[in-house]
Order: sequence, then C-alpha cells, then structure tokens
Amino acid sequence: MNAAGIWLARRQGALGLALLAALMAPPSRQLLEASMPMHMLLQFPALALVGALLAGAIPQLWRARLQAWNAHGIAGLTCAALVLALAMVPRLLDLALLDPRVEAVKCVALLVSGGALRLSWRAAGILVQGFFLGNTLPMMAIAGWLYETAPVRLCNAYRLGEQQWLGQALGWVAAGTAAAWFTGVAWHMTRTPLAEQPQA
Amino acid sequence: MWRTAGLSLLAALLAYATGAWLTLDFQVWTAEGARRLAVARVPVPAPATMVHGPGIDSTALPALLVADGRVTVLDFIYTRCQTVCLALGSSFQQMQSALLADLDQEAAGARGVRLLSIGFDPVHDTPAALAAYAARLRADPRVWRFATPVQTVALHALLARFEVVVIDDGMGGYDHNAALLVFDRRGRLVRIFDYDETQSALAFARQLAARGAAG
Repeated sequence: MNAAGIWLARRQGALGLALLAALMAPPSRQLLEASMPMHMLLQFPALALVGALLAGAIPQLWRARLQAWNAHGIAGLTCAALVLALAMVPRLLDLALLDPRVEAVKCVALLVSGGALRLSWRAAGILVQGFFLGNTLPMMAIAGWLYETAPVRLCNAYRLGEQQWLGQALGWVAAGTAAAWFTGVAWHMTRTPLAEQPQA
Repeated sequence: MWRTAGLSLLAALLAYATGAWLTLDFQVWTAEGARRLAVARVPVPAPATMVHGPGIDSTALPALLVADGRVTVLDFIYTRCQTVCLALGSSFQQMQSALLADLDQEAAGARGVRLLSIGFDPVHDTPAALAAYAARLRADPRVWRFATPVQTVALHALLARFEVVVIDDGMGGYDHNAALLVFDRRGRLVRIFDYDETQSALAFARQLAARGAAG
C-alpha cells in the first residue's frame, strides 16, 4: 500500500463521519431526495459506503469478536441482503420523505448493510458471495424491470419518467455487478493454482 | 456457527417484521396502495377547511359534504391541467350523465350521489377560473360542484389529511395521485378508487347512499 493509501486507511473513520455529515446536511439531503434515481442510486450507496468506512475503523479486537457471530460472513451478508430487499419497496421512498423516523431507520439500516458487507465479504469466499449475489442481483433486476414497465407512478413523490429511468439503471447496476464479480472470480482462478484456491 | 445462525435468524425476523409493517402485511407496495387500504379500514373525516367556488360562499368542507344528505365523489384537480385531470374530467362527465338520470328518483325522496371537484392550485384556481372550467366540462351544478380552499395555508392541511401529494411535473404543471374519493353522508372519506374505475366508484357510492337512506 502506498503512502496515500495508508493515510486514507488510518483516517477512514473520520472520512466516513465527514461523508455522513455531508450527506445528512439538510441541503444535500433535499437535493439527493428530490429525484428518484438520485435517492436510490446515489444516496443509498453513499450511505452504505459510509457504513463500510466506519466498519474499517473498528479496532482489530472488536472485529475478531464480531467475527465469532459472522462465520463465513453469513450473518453480515444476510443482513445486507435483507436491507437491500426492503430498500426496493417503493413505499419506503415516499415514507422516508414524509416521516423523519422512517428516514432515520432507513439511513441506519443502509449504514449497517454497508458495514456488514465490508466485514463479511472476504470471509465469505466465492461460494457465499455467489449465493448472496445470486439472491440480491436478480431481485434488483426484477425490481428494476417492474419500475421500468409499471404504467403508473409507484411513488407519489416522483415522476413516471424518473421511475422508468431508475428501473433501467437498476437492471444495469445488477448486470454490471454480476459481470464485475465473475471477472474477479475468473481472474483469481487463473492466477491461483488449483490446490491453493480458497475453499468456500 | 450457532451464533452466526442465531444472528442471521434474528436479522431475518427483524426484516420480516419491518416488511410486514411497511407493506401492511404484504398487501401493498406503494404509498398510494397504503393510503387506499388505510382509508377503507378507517374512514378519514374531512378537515374544517374553508372552501369557496362558483355558487358556494365560504363554507367549511365538512358542512358542504353533509349539506344535503348525499354521498359525494370528490376529486382534486387544477384548472390548467392538460393530462390526468382531463381524464378525471371525462370520468366525472360519465358519472354526471348517470347521476342526472338519478335525479328523478331523488325528487321522489331517494338519497343520491353528487360530485365535487377541488382545485389545488391556489394561484390559478380562483372561483372564476373554476366556473370557466366547469362550463368547459358542461358540469351541471345540480350534481357537480367546484370549490377551492379560501386560504393557501389550509390547502396544505387538506391535501395532507387525504395524503394527496402534488409535485412539479417538470413542464410547468403538476403531477398528483389523482383518484376518485368517496365520502359518506357524514363527510368522511371511506373509499378511494382509480380515476378510471368510474363504474365501481359510482356503484359503491350509490350503494352507500341507499344504505344511508334506509338507516
């Protein structure tokens, strides 16, 4: 790791908090939630990123203790998959705009899912990762297809055009993530001799 | 491994409970679906918003709704609307022709159904604009009236009470969750129909009116 990388790694907790403050400031929240694609494709992943950064700042000792509850990353990826499933319900977007309690729970859940992903991904290995992606990506693609083809607005607060755009984008995100993961797996397999490949 | 399984199970239970709450026991997925289900379960009384319009002096909305013992089918419109309100207008025109035919029976004492359109654009939907709009749609004031809140502040409370969400449509107009809102004779919102479900809305309203008259 180069010097900049180490500097960033040491300060990821502070970085996460700074990003969280920036995301939660009323003007940026208003801006990000003004459109359906920004709400789902920008704010949601940004909050998960904050969670991942904060998880990186957890001391080693605590991480080891958490790991006892998260064998093969299964508990963490289960949490992340469940949060993602709930995040696809259109009513959540409308409610988050109207009810500050729902907004708070939504943000905390996304932070937790980002943190859980980071703490679980490596430990999961290819098999558990594949199972997680095999569940979440088709779900995301189907939700995207429903958003894209629904003849009516699914959110009272957003326009039909942005809903269709978002639906299409969700499909691309799912496809892109799958392609990236498969590429990573293939790259890993061609570089590692068979005997040394990690057993999931 | 047991701890991992336990934590995963706990997460699944928590997510199930959240999902059940969010979708009203997995029956609805959208805020609009939730609004309609909630209204059908528990009637929503109209707020005491002062409204006025062509032929209607400043009156509290509940008083207007209970005035002559009729059931009301209500919609929210804005007079400059070129899209969904036109569809709502034609829905209301269809219902109007059916209701005009009912008038003879009402003369014989039966309780009927009437239509009310509420304008939500405080700048443009003046009583005069509503009158012109009514004339354009050939609304017959015996069954179809128009009104708008007297004060803009009250408008927001009115829309919030019925969970009507009005947003900018990006083309100088508005998008809103347009629907047919059925009010009983006590001025409570009891059912919401899609704006193309004219027949169902009318059948429900007539049944409600007949039941009310018998009771």
